[in-house]
Formats: sequence, structure tokens, C-alpha cells
Amino acid sequence: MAPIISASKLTKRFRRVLAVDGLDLEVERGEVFGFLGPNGAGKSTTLRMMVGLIRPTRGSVRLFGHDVWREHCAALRNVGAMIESPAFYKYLSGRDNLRILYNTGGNCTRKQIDETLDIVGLLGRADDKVKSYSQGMRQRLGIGLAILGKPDLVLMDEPTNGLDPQGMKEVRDLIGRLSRDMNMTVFLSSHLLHEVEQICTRIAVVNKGRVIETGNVSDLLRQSETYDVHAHPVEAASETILRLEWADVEASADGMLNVRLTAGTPAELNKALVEQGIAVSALIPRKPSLEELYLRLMQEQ
Amino acid sequence: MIRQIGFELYKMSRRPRTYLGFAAFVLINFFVMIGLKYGHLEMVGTHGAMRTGFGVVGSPVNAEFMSWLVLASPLAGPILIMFMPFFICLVFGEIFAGEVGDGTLRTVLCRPVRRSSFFAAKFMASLIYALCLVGFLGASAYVMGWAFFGRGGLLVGGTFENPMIAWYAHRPALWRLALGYALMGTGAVTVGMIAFFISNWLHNSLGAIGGAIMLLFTMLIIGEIPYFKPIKDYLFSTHLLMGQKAFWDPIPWKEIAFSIKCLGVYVAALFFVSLAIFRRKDVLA
Repeated sequence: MAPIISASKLTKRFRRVLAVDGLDLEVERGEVFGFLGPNGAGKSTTLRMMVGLIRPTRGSVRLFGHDVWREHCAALRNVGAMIESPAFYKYLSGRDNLRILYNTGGNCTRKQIDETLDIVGLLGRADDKVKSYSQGMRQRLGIGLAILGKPDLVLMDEPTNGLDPQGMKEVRDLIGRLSRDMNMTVFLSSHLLHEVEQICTRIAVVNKGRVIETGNVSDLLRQSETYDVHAHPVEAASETILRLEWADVEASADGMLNVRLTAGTPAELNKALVEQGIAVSALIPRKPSLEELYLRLMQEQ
Repeated sequence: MIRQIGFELYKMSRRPRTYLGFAAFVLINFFVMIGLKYGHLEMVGTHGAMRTGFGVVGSPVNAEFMSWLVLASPLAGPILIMFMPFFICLVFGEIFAGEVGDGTLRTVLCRPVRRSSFFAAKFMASLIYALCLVGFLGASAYVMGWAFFGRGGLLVGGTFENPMIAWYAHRPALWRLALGYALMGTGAVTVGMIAFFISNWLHNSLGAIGGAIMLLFTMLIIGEIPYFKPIKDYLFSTHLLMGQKAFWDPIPWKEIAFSIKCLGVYVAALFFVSLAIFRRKDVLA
């Protein structure tokens, strides 16, 4: 099956600044895809190129097989997007904003609008002007616009910005529902790694306009798993491990070694130590959080 | 496309600034009416011409005269050169810059909409607004004149370049007024297009309004400098008062056609250059 999002050698240069540098990316149907990276990594520029707001200097991005810049309408027909902080006509009501913004390139009924407003918890304030909405309410209205008409693909940039913890949880649950119950593909750009870890099935980490890591969240975390080894004598254990080609000592403290396995299994590690007469009292797997993985990737960069 | 124009008009209708021009013209008409009602023709610059040579029996002041007064009399100068361009630019200058400033252009262009049709819808909505404003100026003057003085024929004074006094019966007066306002609308759209162009390019509504007005005044000044006389006929500012020619006898159709062509070229050039910029521009705000 063809990927829903396909970016190939995507490049954007703003005069002297290379914002996105030959980025390649593919997102499959049904995924909740997290797009991570530090400020200035090129996330927003990439997202803007994905919806045709910015013209790539080189390369292309295709949605549902259509080039976003050349076949804008076909590419975005089944796409809902919230790019950066949601912007609305402040002098119009929430309902009017959804009606006008969606129907500029689509067709939705009042019933669909009201259902969406109900989902994002704004039905009671639908007729109030947006200028009277709080930041959180505007954020929810932005999410409402992105999911109105039940698109196949939803692109979201920092969707929980400005929301209180309760609102953030509601949005996380909503994104989960979009994928699970409505079979939508969600592309999510966020700084909140905890949030991404909870809801995304796959991620890409970008830095300096390039993808530096991509894969399933669980696979990436498993690959980055380390083991706390309690062994005696610890110095001999460290020397033994350093001689192994498939293991590395990441850190040591208080008679404990933190070991990363690049190929072997924990059982093989245990066997190698015991064969050298080293007493192993504990071998505890330590799964890193996405935050730790992310910080390690950034440090390596 | 028609639905998009409807959305643009709806958005326009919900902004207070859209009504500033209408309110200002009601006020202007009202005070002119009061002045004429209680001060007679003394307040009108045409009195000099009327006092010498012949007398007017009865009152020439009526609905037709009121409509002419704000279009083609010396009183119309400030309206055509200052008020009308300002209020037109207030809306034309906001049309893109406002969307960029509020970030709504980003929201709209994320939707499956052709940039060219979105652009054309904005242009059409602005055009409708400009024609409505010009039409409203004439209609409000006519209705208020009718309410205060009744209807009748039209007594007009000439201009500096074409001194004359003419009397038109009720029906010819009406179609000359319609022609005059249509020509005034062409001028208003041209000034508005300059603000529209700057708005699309500068992303700043104040800059667009100020830039268009500044360009208008600059062109007016250039047009008065003898050295630039050869190009005066090609400056858009030269043709803004062409509505006055609708009351000449005979009507100088060739001059009017040239003025329309000249302004048409300005409008078309500004439209296509703006469209080309808009279709290729990166939306960063």
C-alpha cells in the first residue's frame, strides 16, 4: 500500500538559511506519527510544505500520492490540519469560523459542525465570537477544524499548546480515538515527549533539517534498552564486558555497571561474566523513556 | 467561486471598518443638505457662475442636484480625492494584510482551495464593496435630496477646464448621474487595487492604506508639474475625476473611453502581478 505521506529529498532554503535539508519521510495509513526535534530543526517548515503553505526549494511532498504544490486540492482533499497556533476570524463566532474555513474548499453541514463542536467541548459557546475565547478554547476550535469532515489524515502542530492538564489529557484521548475508532492517520509535531510516547506508534526525530532517527516507538526504546549489572568484582566485570564486541559499558557507579547490548542477549552477557568467575547478583533491564532517547540522540548530534 | 465570494462578503460585512465609509458619506450628505436647506446656494462653489449673466427662477436644489453636487461640483474634490480613496483603501488594504496579520491566511490555505480562486474571490468581493460604496454615496445623496427638496431636473455648473451651465430634464439627468457614478466607481476601484496590491505584498494593512494614499497624492502632484505633462494622461490620478465629464454637453465619449482604458490597464496589471506574487509566495506568518 502506498504511504499516505511521502516526502522525498524535501529541501527548503530561505536565502542563506537551510531550514530543511533533503528530508525523506514516509507515513503509512492508520499510524499516529510523532515528529520530534528541537526548535529550529525544520519541523514547522516541513509541516508547512506538507500543506502547501511553503514551496519546496527542491524535492517534493506527496499526500495520498498527489504532489502538494502541483496538485494542491487533490492532495489536501482528505486532510485536516492545524499548523502552529490556530488562527481564526476573531469577529466571527466559532460556528461561523468552522463553516467558512471548512467550506472554503469543502462542504459540510451545520449538523457536522455541531457534532465536531460537541467533540471538542465548544458547542455551548458556538455562537460566541472567537475574540471572547480563551487560548485553550481556540486550540480546541483548531482541533475541531482539523477533524471536521472526518478527514483520512490529520496534521497537528503542538495540539496541546495552551491547554490545562485536563485539556491535554482530553486531546491525547481524542487523538487516540481518531486513530483507533475513526481510522484516521495522525501526524503530530510536538515538543512534549511524554505525550508523544503515550500516543504515537512511530516517530521521526529531526535536527538541522534532516531525519536523524525514525522507527516504531517500542522498537526504538527496546534498541536503547540498557541493563544494570550488579557484579563482583565490578572492575573485572567491566574489563570482561569491554572485551565483548556486542556489549558496552555506558556508566558505572556504586558497584553497578550500566551496559548496552548491541547484539547479544542478557543471558549471553550473564554467561560471559560467570565464565570469567564473576559473581552476577542482578541483571536488571532498564527501558529508557522517549525523553532519554531523544536527549541521547541530540547529544550524539 | 461564488460561494467563496459570498464568504468574503460575509466576513467583510462583520467588520466595523466596512461601514465607516457608508457612515461618513451619510454624514457628509446630511451636512450638505442642512447647509443647502438653510444656507441656500451660497455654500456651493457654483454660485459665482450662477450669479452672473442670468438668474434662476425657483430652486435648482433637488435630489438630482444633490447627487451631482457630491460627484462633480467643486465640493466633490475632497470626496473623490480624499474620502473615497481612504475608505476604499481601508477595506482593499486590509483584505490580505489582515488575513496574514491574524494568521487566518495560513488556516485558509491549508484547505483544498486554489490560491487563484481564493485571490479572485477576494478581488471580486472588494470590487463589489467599492461599487456599493460609490453607489451608496450617490443613492444616499439622491434619497436625502428627495426627502428634503423633492425631485426634478438637474442644473449643473461646469469645471475649470470646461466652464458651462447646463440644464437637463429629469430622465437625462438620471442617466447622466448613473454614468457619472459608474465612472467614479472605475476610479475608486483603481485606487483600491493599489492598496490591494500593496496589501498582498507588504502584509501590513496600515502600510497598504498609507502606501496607496501616498501614491495617489504623489501622482496628483506629478500631474501638476509641467515637466511631466507628456505622461499626465497616463497617470491614474488624472482620470479619477472623469465622472464630471458625464455632465458635459456633448459627452466627450472619446476622452471617457481613453480614461476607462487607462484605468483598466492599471487594474488588470495590478491584478495579474498581485496574483502571480500570491500564487508563488511562502506563507510564513
